[in-house]
Amino acid sequence: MNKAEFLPHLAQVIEADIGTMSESTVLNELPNWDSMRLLEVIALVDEQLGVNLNANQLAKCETVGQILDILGEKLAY
Amino acid sequence: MRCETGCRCAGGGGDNMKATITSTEYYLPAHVLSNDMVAVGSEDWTPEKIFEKTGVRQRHIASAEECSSDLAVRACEKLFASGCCKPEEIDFILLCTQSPDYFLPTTACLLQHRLGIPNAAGALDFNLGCSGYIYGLGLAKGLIETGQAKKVLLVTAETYSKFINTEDRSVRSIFGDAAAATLVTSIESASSGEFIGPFVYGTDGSGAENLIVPVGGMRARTVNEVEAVGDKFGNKRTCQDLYMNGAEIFTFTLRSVPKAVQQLLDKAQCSLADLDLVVFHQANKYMLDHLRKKISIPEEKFVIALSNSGNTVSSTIPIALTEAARDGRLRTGDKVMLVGFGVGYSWGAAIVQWRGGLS
Repeated sequence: MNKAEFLPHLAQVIEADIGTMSESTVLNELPNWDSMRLLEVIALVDEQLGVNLNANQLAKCETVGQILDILGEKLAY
Repeated sequence: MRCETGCRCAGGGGDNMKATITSTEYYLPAHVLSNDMVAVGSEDWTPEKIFEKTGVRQRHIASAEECSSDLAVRACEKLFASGCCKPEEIDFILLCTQSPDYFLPTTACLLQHRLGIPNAAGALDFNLGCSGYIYGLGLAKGLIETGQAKKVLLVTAETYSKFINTEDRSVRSIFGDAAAATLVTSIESASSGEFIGPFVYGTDGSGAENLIVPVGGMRARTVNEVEAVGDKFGNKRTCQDLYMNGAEIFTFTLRSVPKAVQQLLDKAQCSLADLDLVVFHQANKYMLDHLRKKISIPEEKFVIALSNSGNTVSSTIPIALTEAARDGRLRTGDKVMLVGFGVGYSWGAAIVQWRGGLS
């Protein structure tokens, strides 16, 4: 799965508008951004990419771009 | 069976003595904490959203005077009232708790006295959380099949609510208090098969800090000033309260649970298709749904039983078993997989051939 395919899934899970979401979208400014969302992002990445994310790394992410960064090469560009 | 010297001991544990679950019961404290109450004061959390994500509609919370032994006594009284056995027949008490009445004495000893279980009975507490029921079954099986006991009272009892800050919704929304009692008895069996087992166990203490009550034990007994600190999601807790890093716990379960299930199936030389029911520790519904799909367990074989009581730690599996048997979903002879996982980290899985209700 590449980044373009992954982004709509991510937008849905974090309840961001795919039209306006960008790598600079700030997670804390999203509605309902809470600890449950972290679980949902972990579940999404496990389901779609078969990767077990490092939860503490994920918890430190402040933007959408930083989530993509920790996925790194797991996402085909 | 008698041992060769003719004494009245249980014998040397003949090959034909097998441990089996005979009966289960549970007790929930009277006070109910609803989703409406959990959501009070939050902009983001609504009662419906809490249910949708956690699968919990309400949890039962012990009163200020009610401790683990009190819940345990009530669960055991219900078990005895069902007629499965009398207190005087019990020869070993295994009690799983992380919220004991006292540092010492042992809560299982209090239970022996309060229930009128004979002085000849052995009793011990063991400290495990969500994996505790599996370990308890393993210990009970060991005691019975080595001839050390014939009727083991396995009790799980927690009052985690006493560790939970009312301003920490990350844990308050999930955990509830409860106790469960399971009677594990010795029966003669001509077949080589077992009613409890095989087992798979696992431990990873590197995850200790992710589900912890940091202060209160000997490492840090008390602090002079206890201040509640807020996290980035608006939850507040002190160092004497339960802390759960939910995301980290989730990744731990993704790593360990599917592997444990596969190891157990290999050990039992069977497949998911051979199982009648699968009962995981009822952590929260979101996590359970994801694990179920990941492991490809059919929905009709997978038990979700936390809407009325929440995550009751080591009691979720016996509560789910009791309810499944009551609903007719679990019948005599059924092959059930049980999987517990959590604080420690600690996990365990076992296969049980259900004989509940038969004595």
